[in-house]
Amino acid sequence: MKSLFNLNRLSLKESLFIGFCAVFIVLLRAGLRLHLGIPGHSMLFTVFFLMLARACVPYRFSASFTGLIAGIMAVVLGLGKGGPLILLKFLPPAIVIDIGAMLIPAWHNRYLFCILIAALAASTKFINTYFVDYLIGMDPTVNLQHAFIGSVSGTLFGMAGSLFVPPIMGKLNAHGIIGRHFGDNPEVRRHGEEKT
Amino acid sequence: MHPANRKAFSPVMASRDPGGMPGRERQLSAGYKMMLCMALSISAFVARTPLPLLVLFLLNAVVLLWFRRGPLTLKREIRVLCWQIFIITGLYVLRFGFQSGWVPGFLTAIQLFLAFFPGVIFLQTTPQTQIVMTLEKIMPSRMAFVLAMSIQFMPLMIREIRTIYEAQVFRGARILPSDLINPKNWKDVLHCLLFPSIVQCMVAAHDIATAAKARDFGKFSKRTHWPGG
Amino acid sequence: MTQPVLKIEKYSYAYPGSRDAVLKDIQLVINAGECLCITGPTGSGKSTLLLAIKDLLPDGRLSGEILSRKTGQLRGSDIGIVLQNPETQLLANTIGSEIAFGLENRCVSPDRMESRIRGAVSAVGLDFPLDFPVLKLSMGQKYRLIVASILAMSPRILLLDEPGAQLDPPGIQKLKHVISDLKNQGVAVVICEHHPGYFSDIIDIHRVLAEDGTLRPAADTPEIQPMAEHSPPKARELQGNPESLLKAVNLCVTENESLPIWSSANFTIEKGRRVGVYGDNGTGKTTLLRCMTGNITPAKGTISVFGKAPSPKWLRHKIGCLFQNPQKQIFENTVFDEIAFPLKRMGFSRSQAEGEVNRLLRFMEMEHLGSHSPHKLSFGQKHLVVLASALVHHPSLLILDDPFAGLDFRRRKTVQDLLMSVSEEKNMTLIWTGHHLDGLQKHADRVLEVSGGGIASRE
Repeated sequence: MKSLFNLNRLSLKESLFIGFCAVFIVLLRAGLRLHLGIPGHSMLFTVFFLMLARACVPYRFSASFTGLIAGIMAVVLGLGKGGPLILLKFLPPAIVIDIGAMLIPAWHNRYLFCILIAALAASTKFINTYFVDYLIGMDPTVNLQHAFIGSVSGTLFGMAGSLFVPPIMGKLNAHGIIGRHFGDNPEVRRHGEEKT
Repeated sequence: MHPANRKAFSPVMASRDPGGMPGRERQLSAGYKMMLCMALSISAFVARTPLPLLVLFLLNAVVLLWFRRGPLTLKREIRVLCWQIFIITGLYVLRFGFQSGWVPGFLTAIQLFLAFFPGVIFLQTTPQTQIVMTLEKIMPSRMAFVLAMSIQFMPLMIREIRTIYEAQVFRGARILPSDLINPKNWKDVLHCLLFPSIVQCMVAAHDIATAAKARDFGKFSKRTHWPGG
Repeated sequence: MTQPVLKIEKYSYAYPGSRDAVLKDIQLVINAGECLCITGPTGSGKSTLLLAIKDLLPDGRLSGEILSRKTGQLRGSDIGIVLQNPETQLLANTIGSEIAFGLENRCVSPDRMESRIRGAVSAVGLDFPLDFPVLKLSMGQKYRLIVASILAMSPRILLLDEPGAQLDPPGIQKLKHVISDLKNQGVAVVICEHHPGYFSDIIDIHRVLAEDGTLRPAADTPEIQPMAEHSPPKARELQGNPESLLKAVNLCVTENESLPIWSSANFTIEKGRRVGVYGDNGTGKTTLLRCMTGNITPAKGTISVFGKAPSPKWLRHKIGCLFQNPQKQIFENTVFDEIAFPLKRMGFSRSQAEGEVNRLLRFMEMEHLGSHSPHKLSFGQKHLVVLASALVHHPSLLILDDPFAGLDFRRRKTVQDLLMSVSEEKNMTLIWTGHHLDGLQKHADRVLEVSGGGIASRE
C-alpha cells in the first residue's frame, strides 16, 4: 500500500481535501439512504466526489485514495452494511476514474469524457455484485439478473453525478481557485488567512 | 456531533484509549475481532447446504452475544435480510419455478446475508477508538491522521455548509426541498451551494494543514503517543 | 530585556504565481519579553508576516533574511503561532490530548509529557481536568487552550493572529493576563490586530503594515486607542405609530432538544427600528437570529415575523441576511451578478437591476470592479459585495450576524455608513449581533442583551 499510495507526493492540505471528499461520499450515502428509497442513488455522489478529488488534486491515485479513505471511514463509522467488504463498493469505481483520468487528459472539462468515465466507473457495481454472488455459488442466470438490477440505476446515477464536474471545475479554474496545488493558490490563501 | 461520540473519533485518543469500557477484560482486541469476523464472512461463501448454513448462523449468534457491549439495534439488518430474501428468492422462482426455485433462492439469500453480517457484528460491538487504533497499526501515519481529521471536522464542515445553505436561501436561491421538485432549480444547488461548499472545504483543508504544521506535524516520520486521556 | 530574539532585515515576499510582493523590505527587531503589535488594513499581509516568521509560507519569491533563524540563534521550534480561526486549530478532543499533539510530533517521551501539559494548562488558567472535552469549552477557553498547546512546546516567541476577532471582552482580559506573565518570563509576543486598543496596556511597540506591504512606525490612527466605552443606545423617534414587525413571546430555544440556550424571552421590534443583539461568545446570539429567520424552531413560546411564524420559504424575498464570514457565499462570475442575484431570482431583468446595483457599487467606491471576479477581491471588498447583495432588493428587515468581523477601521466605517444610510432611506429594520466594543452600539435604538440564559431588552 505504501508504495502504491505514495502519500508524500501529496501536500497535507491536498490529503485533507481528499479526506473531506471521502467524508461527503460516506455522509451523503448514509444520510440519503434514510430519505430516498431509490436503488443506486448513492452512485450520484460517490462518482461526483471521486471525480472531484481526481480533478482538483494532481495526483495519479487521488480518486483511489479517496475511495480507500471513504471505505475505511464507512467501516469505522459503521455506515455500511457490508463490514470490511464495503471497501469493494468504493475502490473499483475509484480505480476506473484514475485510469480514465490517466488516459484522457483534461477529461474534467468535457461532459462527454466525464459521462464515459462515470459510466465505466459506476458499472463496476455490476462486477462487484456478480463477483460476490459468484463466490456464493448463485445460479449464473439469477446472478446476472441480480447484478443487473443492482447496477443499472447506479450507472445512470453515476453518469448524472459526473455532469456536475465540468461546470464546477470550470468555475474553480476561472476564478483562479485551483491550480497545480490549490492550497498555494493566492485565492485559497486569502480565504484561509483572513477568515475570522 | 455529540461530545461523547466526538471523543471516540480522536486520532490521538485512539492510540491512548486504554479500553475503558466495563467488561474489557473479556473482550478480544479489535484486530482479533476483525480477523474472526472476516473468517466468519469467508465461511459463508463455502457453506452452501442447509446444515452448514444453520451452524454458521448459530456461530454468528454466539459471536454476537460474546462481543455484545450493550443494547443492539438490528432493525436495519433484519430489513436488509428480508429484502434480500424477497429479491433473490423471487428471481430463483422466476427462473426455476416455485417448486424447485424457492429453496435454493432462500438459501442463497441467507448465505449472502451471512457474508455481510459478521461485518455488522464487528462494527456494532467495537468502539471506534479501537478500530482507529488498529487501523493506525496497518496504515501510514499520515493516512491515519487524514482519516481521523476528516471524521473529526465532519461536524464543522456540515455547519459551514448549513450556513451557506441558509444564507443562499435568503438571497433567493431556489434550493429549498420544495424547490428541488422542479429540475430547473437544480442548477441553483450546483452554483449556490455545491460550488461555495467545495471552496470552503479547500479553505478548511488549508487551515487545518497549516495548524498541524505549526505544531510540527510531519517533522518526524514517527510520533510518540501520550498515554493520558 | 534588551536581548534580541528576532531580527528581520529587508525581507520581501511574493506568493507563488503572484507578481506583486505582499511584504516589502520588512525591518524588525524584537527583544525578549517585549510585546509588539502590528496593525494595518485588511489584506495588507499581517498574517503572511507571521507565517513568514514561523517559516510556514509556500516557496514563493523572496529576498532579505530573517537573520536570527538563519544564524541558528532561533530555531523554527522556538516560535509558536496561534492562527486566526480556533475551530480549525483544535485537532484533538480533550484538553490533555490537544496540548500533547505538538509534543507527540516532536517525539517527546510520554513520561515527560504530563508535567509539560500541566504546566501549560496552569499558565493559561484553564482549570479543567485533562480529559475534559474540548467541545464543551467556550471560545475564549478554546483560544487559551491553543495558546497552552503552543506554550507546552516552550516557544521563545509567541505569534498571535487577530486574537481580538475571536474573543469577547472577558476572553480578552484573560488573554492579556497570560501575555503579561509570558512577557515577565522573557517570551517575546507579536500580536497582529485590527484593534490594538484591546491590548494597549501590554503592548510595548506598535507598527503598521501598510497596504503596500511595508512596515512603518505607527501613527496615531483612530485604531490605536484604548477600548471604546460602552455607549448606551439612543432610541430615535420613528414617524407615526410604527407597526410591530417581529414579536417574541416566552421564547425558549434548547440545544440538542434538552438544555435551554435561553428561555422566557419577550420582546417586540417595530418597523424601522435598529436593534443590536449583544452578549459574550456562546450566549446564543446567532441562535436568536436563526430563530428569527425560521431556521430553528423554538422549544417553547412563539415568535412571529411580519405577523406569521417565520419560515425560510415565507421570508425568502422579504428579508436580507448577512451571516458570519459572508464571503464564503460568493459564487457568481462577476461582482455585478453577485450583487444582482436576489433581483434575478425575483424576476428582474439585468437592465432593471442595473440602477440599484450601480448605486450600491458607487456608494462602496467599487464601480470599476463590477465586471471583475468577486473571488479575486480583497477580504473587505468581498464583505461589502455580499452586504450589497443582501440590501439590493430593499428588504423590510435586514439581519446581520457580526457584520464587522475581520474588518479594519476603514471598512467598518463603510459598512456602518451603508447600513445607516439605507435603513434611514428605506425605513428598513436592522437587527445585528456584535460585541460591546464594535462601535455600532451607539446607532442602536434598542439593545437585546443575551446573557445568563435570558434575553433582556434595554432602550
